[in-house]
Amino acid sequence: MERRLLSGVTEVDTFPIWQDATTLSRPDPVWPDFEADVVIWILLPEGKKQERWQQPYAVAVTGPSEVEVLLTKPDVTEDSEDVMAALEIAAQTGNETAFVQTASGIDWLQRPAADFVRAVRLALAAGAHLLARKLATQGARLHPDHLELCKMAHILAPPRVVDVDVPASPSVRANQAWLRLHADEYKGQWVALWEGTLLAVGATAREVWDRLESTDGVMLTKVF
Amino acid sequence: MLLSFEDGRPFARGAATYLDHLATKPETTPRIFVHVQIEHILTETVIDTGAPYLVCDPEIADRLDLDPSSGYKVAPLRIRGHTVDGTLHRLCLTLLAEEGDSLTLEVSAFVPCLQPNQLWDLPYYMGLLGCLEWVRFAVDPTTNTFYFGAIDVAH
Repeated sequence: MERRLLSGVTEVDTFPIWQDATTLSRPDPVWPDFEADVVIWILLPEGKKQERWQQPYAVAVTGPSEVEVLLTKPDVTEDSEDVMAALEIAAQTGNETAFVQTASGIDWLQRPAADFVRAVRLALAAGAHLLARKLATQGARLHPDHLELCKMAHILAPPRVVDVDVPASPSVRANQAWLRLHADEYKGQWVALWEGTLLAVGATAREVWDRLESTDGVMLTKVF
Repeated sequence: MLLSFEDGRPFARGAATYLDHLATKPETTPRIFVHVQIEHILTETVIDTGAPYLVCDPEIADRLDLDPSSGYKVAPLRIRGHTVDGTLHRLCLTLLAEEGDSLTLEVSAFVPCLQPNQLWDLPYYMGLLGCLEWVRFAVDPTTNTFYFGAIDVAH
């Protein structure tokens, strides 16, 4: 599949951007708010578009019939507000795929820092978490003095290995043994355990924590 | 016993037993609970490769005394059927080993911000994107063992 997003940056994709399967904020794919045969048009102002996608782009194929979103493909010469408005609409539909498609039509190398910030926020709202990371990373590269973009890039960066030689924890087995034996008695409550011994129990983590003389090596968890 | 590739390179440098049971009342499928350390607090999390980030329990996040200015407020996320506002942070997460070495990572973490009348009855979740994506892991359900190790970037 064509890849136009972030084309100016050479990097290894951990996951294919077109198949971002992170779904935390993706709504039910049935789209209950739409009736059958609804077609949603997202149109940009006339006179500025130079091309359109040739085929309607189906974004949902579940339910009684297809719901289609016919997206215009923003051109790099279009006003910033136009393409960002298209992103906003795609995010508001809650459709991650439509959002990624819309974002891929934008030449991000020409965009100001503010557009990156807005796009990252919209990507997160749309559930496009990997795209949010890529936009934050590229935005921070292009605008290294923009504090908010740098902060976004740092927070959304891939995990970093800090230490691989941390000694094993002997308390894990003992605490698990306690939980295996007593979970039913304390279900729904917070407990503090130390080496397989119950130190405190309460309705909230704060209540339990505040009862401890020392928190070194203490495990704090809600019992499920 | 830890896991290795045929050429002797370690696949997993740490292993720990886990508990598997239901995480919440409506669920009918057991979840894998592993013991971890979030910053300085020992606790347990559920492995959820369908989710992004480390999703923190707000009560434990409160114990971490996170600097609000270090986080980034984001639009509501849907987590296991709940829509919650929250903040993204960068936190240290240690996968605790009973055998071999524990592994410490710096990960993206979502800390829910609850409304006054909103309750949080979910555990921590370790998602894939932003959390476990650079970790090799395997599960042996016959012994309830969770194996893990950092990906060797050279390979």
